Amino acid sequence: MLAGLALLGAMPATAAEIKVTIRDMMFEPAALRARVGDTLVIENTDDTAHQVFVATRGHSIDLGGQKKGEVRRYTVRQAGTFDLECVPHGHMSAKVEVTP
Amino acid sequence: MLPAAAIAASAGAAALAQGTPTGPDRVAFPAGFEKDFVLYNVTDRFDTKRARHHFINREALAKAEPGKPLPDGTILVMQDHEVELDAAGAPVLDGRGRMKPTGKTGNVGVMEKRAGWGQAIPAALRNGDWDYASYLAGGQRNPNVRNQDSCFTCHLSRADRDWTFVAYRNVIDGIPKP
Repeated sequence: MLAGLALLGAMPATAAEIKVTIRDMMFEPAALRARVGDTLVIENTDDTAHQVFVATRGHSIDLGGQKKGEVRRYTVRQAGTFDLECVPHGHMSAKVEVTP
Repeated sequence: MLPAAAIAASAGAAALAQGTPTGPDRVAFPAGFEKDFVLYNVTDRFDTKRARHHFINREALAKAEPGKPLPDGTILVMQDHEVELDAAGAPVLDGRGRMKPTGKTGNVGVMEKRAGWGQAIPAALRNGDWDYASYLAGGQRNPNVRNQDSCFTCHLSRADRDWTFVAYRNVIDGIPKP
């Protein structure tokens, strides 16, 4: 029984989907926390196309161009902190903190 | 976006019309960069299913300071790598969630900064003193890139960090000095 409880405690929490909305040339929220295994679900609601990327060393990705209404999904698989950015819009940024 | 791109394309055409050497006529393919330069970041591109390797020449990295423009003589290289794909065509990821390059390389983009180079570029398009060139994997000029206008236009969005998407930011993040 005790062994079973210990095993249960070691199991990772269920992975979550975390919604990120691009609205009015900004990321909402501008800061968020995730756990390894969670998936960022990023929707562009602007008429303008965006392109989400991360330049942070060790976390760098590019999700490609994203027109209005399109959704990109990205599952975080390592702990750390990185910034979401937009290729054509240098002022857009959101900080993501990923914990184990 | 379209009006800006149209303006930039027009400006680029003007530069070519003046006959000033730009692009691959002065930004050479840096032969041996995979050995001689420092690999400072890898961008997993989920749109193109490629891993983009970022290199910087050692002399520039040695002089680079966080939060300051990259030094004169900086050469940045972007080299695309093919990656392992699963049966469905999706990139295979390792335990850290990173793509797995196969070893086969693709196009090479180069940006180089030399004092005064910006004078040859129309103001509407200028990226400080940076200029660009695109090469095939073997170092030949990329015949599919007629001019560098798309490079200049895209990098304008990062004027506040020396017109670079990755390098300036990564110097702040901390790249081990050579």
